[in-house]
Amino acid sequence: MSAPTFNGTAEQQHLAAEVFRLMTAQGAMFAADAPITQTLTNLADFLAAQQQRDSGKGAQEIDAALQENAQIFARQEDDGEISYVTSRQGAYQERREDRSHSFRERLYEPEEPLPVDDISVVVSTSRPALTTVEPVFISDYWQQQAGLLPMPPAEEGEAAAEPGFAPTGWSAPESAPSAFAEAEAAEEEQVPAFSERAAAPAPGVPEQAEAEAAPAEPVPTPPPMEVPPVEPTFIEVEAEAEAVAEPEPEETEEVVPAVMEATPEVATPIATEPAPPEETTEATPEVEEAAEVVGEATEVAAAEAEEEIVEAVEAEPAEAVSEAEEVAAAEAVELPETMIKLNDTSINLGQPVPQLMAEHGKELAAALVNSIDKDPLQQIARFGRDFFTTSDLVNLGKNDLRRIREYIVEVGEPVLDTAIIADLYYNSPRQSSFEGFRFSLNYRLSREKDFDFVGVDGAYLWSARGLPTIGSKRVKAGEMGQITSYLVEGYDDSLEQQSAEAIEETGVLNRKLTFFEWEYGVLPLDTSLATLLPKPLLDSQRSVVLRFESPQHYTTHPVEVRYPTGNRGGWLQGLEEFFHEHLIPGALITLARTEEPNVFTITYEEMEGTEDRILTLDEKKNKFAFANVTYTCEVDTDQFPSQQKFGKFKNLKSLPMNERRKGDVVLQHVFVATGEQVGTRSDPLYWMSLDDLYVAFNVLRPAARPYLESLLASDDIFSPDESTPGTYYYKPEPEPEDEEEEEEDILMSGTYDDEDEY
Amino acid sequence: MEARTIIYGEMALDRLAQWLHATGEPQDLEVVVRRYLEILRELVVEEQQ
Repeated sequence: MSAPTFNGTAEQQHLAAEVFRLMTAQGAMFAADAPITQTLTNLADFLAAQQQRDSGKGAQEIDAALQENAQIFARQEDDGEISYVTSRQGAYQERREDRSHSFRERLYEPEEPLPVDDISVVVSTSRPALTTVEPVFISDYWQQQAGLLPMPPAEEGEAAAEPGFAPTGWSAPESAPSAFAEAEAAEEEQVPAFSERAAAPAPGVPEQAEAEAAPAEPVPTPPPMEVPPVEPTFIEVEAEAEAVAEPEPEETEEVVPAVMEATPEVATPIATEPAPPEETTEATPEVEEAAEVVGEATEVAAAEAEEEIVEAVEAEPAEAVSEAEEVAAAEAVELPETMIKLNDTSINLGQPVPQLMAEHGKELAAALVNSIDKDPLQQIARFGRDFFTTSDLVNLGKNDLRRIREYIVEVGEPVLDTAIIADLYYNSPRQSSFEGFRFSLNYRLSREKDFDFVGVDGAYLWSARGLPTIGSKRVKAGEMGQITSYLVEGYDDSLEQQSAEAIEETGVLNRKLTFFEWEYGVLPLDTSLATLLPKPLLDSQRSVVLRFESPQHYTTHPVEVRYPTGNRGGWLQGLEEFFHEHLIPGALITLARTEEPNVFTITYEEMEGTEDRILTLDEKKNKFAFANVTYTCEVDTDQFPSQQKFGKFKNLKSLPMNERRKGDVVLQHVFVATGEQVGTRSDPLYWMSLDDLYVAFNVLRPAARPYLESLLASDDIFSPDESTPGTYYYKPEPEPEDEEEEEEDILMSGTYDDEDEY
Repeated sequence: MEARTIIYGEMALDRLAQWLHATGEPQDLEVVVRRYLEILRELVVEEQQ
């Protein structure tokens, strides 16, 4: 910092330098540009004391010297007290903050700020951290109507009708001409005819202006609700006018630009589709009508309202939009013949989409699903019938999967996806992200080995490793699959009593319980049951878990439906407890759908308690026996295994399940154990009716009559009794001699009884 | 656009994904197929223009 140069005489320069040194010493700790102030009196007193001089004379000399150096010392006078101000860097200059490079200046302040009255055009895409209450601007018109402002005098009312006067707010019709005038100003060069028509006083306007001019009466304003009826015509005209624009530009050039300006959203999509020639001819008079309509200033007042209505139309629910799309697609111009090939089928893409969907919907859907699944980029994820982008999936980590599995195991049965989301993630269906999160959860779980999807369309249930199995453990899944394989092979007569259409229509199925079904709580998934029950949702789905409710006993039973796979049949399991508590073999049961897709009811016809000796299986001794049972359900007497009718059934062996898989083995055993021996001891021949065979066979394993008939026809050891239709013979192959001798020894010893066979 | 250039299930899958993203939530199979057909038709029209 260089020392300043002083002016004046040598003495004055010396004195000024002395004062400067004195004052800068006083402000040695000040900022370089900070003001250092000292009164003339103090300076004079100090120097007078140092130099042994008169302070009064010294004050004059100091004052004169400092005034000579006014560029360094600023003189101030306050109430007669003179003081000087300087700074360590010389002359004191008031500090000015340079904000020209601040963030605020550089980022937010436009070069030409918008006027305050146009603040509504400032749009911010950022969301404020805290919600603020924005002031609501109410037009003068409504404030006048509410009595908050005095009514304008008559001249103002007339002026309001003049083009160019623009009161705030659009709702009052008197604002319409002026509002239009604003738009007109921008378009005047392009649309002279239109602006002339608009600017010219319309027939209705003077009357309206006169009515408005009456000070005491309210302005005769058509209510805003009258505007919408005008609007559809307007939009339609715009759309058609837009379509006409290319073929007949000379007729529509005056109108179309302004119309496009009014509703660009409507015009754009239609403009992409060329209009058919016949539409053009029809549209022309309507365009002329539109021009007349537009020419009326009072109706042009609806221009701003239209924009809002158009926005409202766009904001309508998706259904309305899709309907509109369908209509548009139906009316769309036919594309040139563009064929797409699906396998061996050629499909004309030029047909409307609804027609394409009606004719080839399944093929198109299957092909698209196949393509999406094979897409190497994996852009789209699929779960069942739902599709979503993979980029939008919510990420669920191992910790999430562990929590979900523990939750399902804790509940103890398969759980709905919505329950998982609600209980673990506190996500409500009201939240916009719910469906996306739900899809992500289902999609993620479907790719995990620890989870099994056991739901149906409309009820997405998840099972997890560690859950207890549903149904009897006495029959293994592999064995049941083989036992019910006759259904896959086509031996199914379940629709003879009740057609599939009837089941589908009523949602009700009646069936009789066989002994095997009653004993193990298992129902073969024949065609009638498959018609009643839901189909699997996923391609790889092996089973679903349903809930069977008993309205007669207020109990609920989880039932697992195992679907057929390959050459193995399907079945239901989990009703063992219900059957044993309330029913007996031969009972008539009714299964019915409910409103929920995964809930069914099971009922039976009740009757007074009846006691009878019926067939039972003694698990401990592993043999069949008859026991007294009291039952209260209606039964089919033909299949009711009572001792009176089927006394020989106690001779049946409870064959191991792997033996029961073999139909011919079971059939031979049934003949021997329950048939009538009509041959000799050395040449046995068993005779039995098909009805009894059916009942006895179904004690050991489920089977349909066609399956039995096929077994009987498959081997020469079985032969029909020609004398009695519906009865059959079984002639066993001769046994080895040593076994015969052993059997004879037993018989001769007289110790043979039924139990020796076991 | 010539017919032979349209490969159903391979063309415009990115457009379909963009539409799915724009909808903001999973869509049913039927809706997706409809939209895909419309996209293909739009492609043909664009190519013509």
